[in-house]
Amino acid sequence: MSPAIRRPLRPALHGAVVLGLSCVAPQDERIHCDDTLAPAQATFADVKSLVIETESNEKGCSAANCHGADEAEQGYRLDADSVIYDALTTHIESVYAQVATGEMPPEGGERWTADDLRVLRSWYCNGAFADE
Amino acid sequence: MSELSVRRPLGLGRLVTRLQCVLLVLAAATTGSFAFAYPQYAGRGEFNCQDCHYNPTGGGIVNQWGRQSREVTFGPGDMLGGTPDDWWGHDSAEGRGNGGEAELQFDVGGDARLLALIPSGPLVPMLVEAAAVAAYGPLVAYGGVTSRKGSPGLPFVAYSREHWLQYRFTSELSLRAGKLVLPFGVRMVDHTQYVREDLGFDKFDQSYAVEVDWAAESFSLSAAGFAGDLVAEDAALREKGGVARGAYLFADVAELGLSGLVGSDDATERWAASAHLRLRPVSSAYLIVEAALENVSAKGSESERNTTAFFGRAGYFVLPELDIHAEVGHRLVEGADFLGKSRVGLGANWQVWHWLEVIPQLLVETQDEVGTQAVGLLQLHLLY
Repeated sequence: MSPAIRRPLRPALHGAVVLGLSCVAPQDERIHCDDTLAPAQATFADVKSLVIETESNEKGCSAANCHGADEAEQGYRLDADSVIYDALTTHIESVYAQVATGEMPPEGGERWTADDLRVLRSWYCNGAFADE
Repeated sequence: MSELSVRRPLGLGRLVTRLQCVLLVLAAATTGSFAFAYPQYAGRGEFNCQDCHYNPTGGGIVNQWGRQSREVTFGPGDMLGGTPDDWWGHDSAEGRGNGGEAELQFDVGGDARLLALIPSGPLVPMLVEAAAVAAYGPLVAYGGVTSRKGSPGLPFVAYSREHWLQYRFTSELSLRAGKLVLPFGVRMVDHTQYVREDLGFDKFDQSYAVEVDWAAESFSLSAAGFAGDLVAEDAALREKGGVARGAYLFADVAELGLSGLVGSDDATERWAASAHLRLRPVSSAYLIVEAALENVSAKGSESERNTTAFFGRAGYFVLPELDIHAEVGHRLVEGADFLGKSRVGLGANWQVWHWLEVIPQLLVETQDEVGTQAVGLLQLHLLY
């Protein structure tokens, strides 16, 4: 048998392992569309009011030392409509998982409530329109 | 002697470049034509993705031909007495033995993409993916696994972006079923164009689908019926519909393509269309242009979103493994002016070794409310 047509066992085992791992299920905290609010009750303005940090909203993401214009942790600014919209529509799975599990806001930050999460997922499930 | 003609000393960098050129010519003479399958390799007259990839629409690990065509560059492996294939016994999975008889064959590969902001950022992984192929006669099974962010207790979980079964009727025509990247527009390797990410074809936007792929000498056609991500996505968010991408090839000079998509989930309906051109105006130069439209409307309200997206890149291969390019991108969302953004950039894609590419880029992005920002990026791609 020439070397050109020899099939080593090792690639075969690698192949079987990788194909098997391909079936592993994804993350735990997934965004879901159960008990969603009507579109008028979960608008982009409602979502923004949760994301933008203010004196009355300490659970927001845009504090100066977090995802604000000065620091932009991980390269993400969340202090303007355009960047909030893009971040939420392109990374909703990651964002939702982080606020749902309390990973965000980080230590010391006020945790998002079940109602807050409901607004976020309702807005996304209703089509993520930018209407306010 | 004029100032322009002063000869600089032959430093190490120039010496390596000259050695590269010499070895490249020698390698090219012994291995035949180049056949890279990135969209920009249209600049060398290569337009068919399936020449180099197991996936008939491109992306994922490369086949034997794709692997061999990457070995024309000079690298440390040559000095060490072999390529990674030589060291690790990397085989191809064509499903046929040398005599053409059906034979069970396997192949494995990997794709790691790292990104750093220049000059301050650390090098962070964007995607680290392993994939495997099993083939027996006309049947092919393909699967990949990567990591995806999970929850605090389990920061990363294994996730499969693609896994599909393929039946090859002929070398040009095949049927696939499974989770795959839907055929739409131009697939780019470096994630910098607006058209794909804004129209729902980003890193984790694959869908379960049944797809027909037909890649002939003068045209390619892919059509799929899709049902969303049946595993990772909530049932209400799974978009179901149809998509098709057709392209006509003008010899080794140009590809002109059209794509269309119609789909709906529980809350919305959408259609999208794209036209693209890949052009090789002169040898070693290329132009890639794509323009796309998308309409998304709510089923239960008057809400509607119309998006136009544009991407263009012009480049030139100063060496067969190095292209430099300039690009421009633009997005506009009707009725939501604050979502307008545009980008211009300069960059290069340098295959410094068989399995390593370095992609430096300088991008200037303008976004409403945010203003104009310049950012330097350095990407490393490791492909096996």
